[in-house]
Amino acid sequence: MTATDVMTTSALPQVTLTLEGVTTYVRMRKLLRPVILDVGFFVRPGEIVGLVGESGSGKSMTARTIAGALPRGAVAEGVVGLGEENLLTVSRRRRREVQGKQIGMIFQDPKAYIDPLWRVEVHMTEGMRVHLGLSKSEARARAIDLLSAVGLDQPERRMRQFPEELSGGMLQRVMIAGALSVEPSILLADEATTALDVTTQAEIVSLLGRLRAERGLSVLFITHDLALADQICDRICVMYAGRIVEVREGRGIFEDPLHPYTKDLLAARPNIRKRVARLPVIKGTPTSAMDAPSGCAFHPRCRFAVEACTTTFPQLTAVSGGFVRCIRAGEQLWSEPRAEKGQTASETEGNSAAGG
Amino acid sequence: MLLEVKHLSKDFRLRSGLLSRSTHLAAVKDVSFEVPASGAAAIVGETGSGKTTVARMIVGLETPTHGEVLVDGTPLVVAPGPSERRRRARLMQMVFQNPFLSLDPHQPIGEGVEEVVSFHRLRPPAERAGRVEELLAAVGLDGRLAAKRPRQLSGGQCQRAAIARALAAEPQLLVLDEPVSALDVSTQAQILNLLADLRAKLGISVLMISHDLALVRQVADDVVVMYKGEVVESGKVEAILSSPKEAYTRRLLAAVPEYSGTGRATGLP
Repeated sequence: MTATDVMTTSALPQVTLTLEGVTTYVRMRKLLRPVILDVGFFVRPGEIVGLVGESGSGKSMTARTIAGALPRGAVAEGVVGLGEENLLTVSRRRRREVQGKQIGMIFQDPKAYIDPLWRVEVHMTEGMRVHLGLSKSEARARAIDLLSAVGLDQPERRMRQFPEELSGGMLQRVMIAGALSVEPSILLADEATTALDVTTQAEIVSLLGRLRAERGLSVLFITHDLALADQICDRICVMYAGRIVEVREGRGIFEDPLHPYTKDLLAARPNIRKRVARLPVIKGTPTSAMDAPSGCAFHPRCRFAVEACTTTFPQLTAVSGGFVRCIRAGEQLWSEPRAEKGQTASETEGNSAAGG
Repeated sequence: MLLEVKHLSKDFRLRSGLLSRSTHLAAVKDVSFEVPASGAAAIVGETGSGKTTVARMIVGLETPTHGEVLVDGTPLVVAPGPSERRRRARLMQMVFQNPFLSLDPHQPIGEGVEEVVSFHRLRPPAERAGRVEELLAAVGLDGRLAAKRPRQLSGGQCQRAAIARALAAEPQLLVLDEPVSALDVSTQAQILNLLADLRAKLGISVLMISHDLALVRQVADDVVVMYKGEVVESGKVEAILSSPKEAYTRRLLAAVPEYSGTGRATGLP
C-alpha cells in the first residue's frame, strides 16, 4: 500500500490512468473470492505500460476491472482513476459513459469481437456516431483516415469488406482503428498480438509504437511474453497470483530482474541464441489468487524462500530500478548473471544490481 | 535415414459456392527433407506455410497429392488401410498442440495409455498395468494420476499424458505439432526437458512443428523453414539461425523480440 502511494503521488501531475489498491472478487458458490489483490500502477500520457503474467496471474481480470467488463456477480474495490473520477465509485450510467468513450480495447482474437455480418464500415463508424455524435458522412470520412493511419491500404475498399475477407493482422488493425475512433485516453491491448504470426506481431507492435509517438497514445499492454513487453514498454508490471510482484521502470528487466519469479521465468525460456542441456525450471505450476498460499504467493516455488515468506504478506517495496513485492527485497539474492542474451556466463560475478 | 520426405505436395480443392467452379490451393509444394535415426528436426513457418499439412501427410492423416514418405528406406503406402495404419502407428506417433482437445475428456489418462498398449498387443494382459505405470513414470507423471481425467489435470500434466500415450506404441519417431504453445512458460521448460530426456534415454527421433524459433533452437538439430507451402531454407539449426541466407528467414528472425540483441524491435520509431 505504501509503495502504491509513492508510485501514484510522486508521479508527474498528469496521469492518464491510475489504479490504487484494486481488489476484485468473483462469486463462487456464494462466496466472494479474490482474483486480483491490491493492484496499483499508473499510466502517463504517451506511455506504454506492460502487464505481464502467466495464466491465472490476473492480468486479464485487471483489464476487465478497468474496462468494467467483469463477470456477473464480481465486485471490485479500490481506485480506478481515469481523469478526475474513480470509475469504481461513480454512478453506473457515468461509468459506462466514461468507459465507452475513454477506454479503447483490443483483444487476442479480433474475429471473436467483430460482428461477422457487418461490413468494416459499420464497426468503424458506430462508436463515433454514438459517443461523438458525428453524422454518417463525418464518421465515414474519419474512419477512412483512421484505417490509413493504422497502415491499411485501400481504406475505402476495406470499409466495404466483411471481416472474413481480411487476414488476422488486417483485422487487428481494424480493431485498433475502431478503438481509436472515439479518441480514448487509453488503449487496453489484451494479448492483442498473441494469435498473430511473429512477423505480423512485429508490425502491430511497431504500429502501437508509432501511434504513441504520433498521437501521444497511452497503452496498457497485457501479454504473457516478457520479451515482447520489454520491447515496447516504458514500465512493466509483472503479475503473479493476482498481485503485482514487480514493477520495472524503463528497460532492463532481462538484465536485472527484481523478483525471484521474474528471474526464474526469464531463465526458463528457451534462448534463440544458445541451446542448453536442460532448461532451468520453476518447480510446481502457476497458481491463481484464489488458490494462493498465505504469505508470499510465490513461496512454494521460490528457491530463495525462507520461513518468514510463508507467513508475511510482502508489500511492494521501492528498490533501484523499480518496486518489488518480496520480503528479501533489500538482499542480493543472486549474483550470477543471466546467461540469456548470448553473452558468456561467469564473467560478471559481481554484477551488483547494476543500478547506474 | 529414418525418415525421408521426397517431393511432397498437397493440393486442396476449395469450393466457394454451390454452383461455382472449384479452385485448387497448393498448400504444400515439393517439400523434401530427412530426419536421421535418433535425430531431431523442426519445421518452422507461419500460418499458412503448410508446416502442419506436411506433418499430417507424414503420419498418414492426409493423403499427399504427389511425392512420398520413406521410413528406413521403405516407402509408406499412400492411402493406408487398417493393417497398414496399425503398422505405421508403430513407426510414428503424433502429439498435438492442445492436449485437452486431443485426449478423450471422459477417459482416465491411464486407460488411454493402456488402450494403445493392448491395441498393438505389446504386452501380455497381466503386464499391462505395470507398463502403464512405467510409461507414466517415463514422462514424469505420478502413477496415482492414472485414474484422473484430463480436466482434473494441469495443461502440462495433460501434455505429458499425451506424450505417454504416443510412447506407448513404442514408435521410432515422434511428430509434435506445436507441443508447448498452449502451455505457460514455466511449464514449457518442463516439457522441453522431457523431450531431451526421451531422446537421450530411448533414442527416439523427433520432428517438431513450430512457429517459435527459440524453441526450435532448444529442441532441434536440423531445421526446415517453410513459407507459403515451400521450403525456403533448410540445414543445421545453428547455421540457419546465426547466418540465414534467405530474406524470409531473416525477416522471421528479425521479428523475434529478443533476437535483435538489445531487445528493441527494429523498425520502431
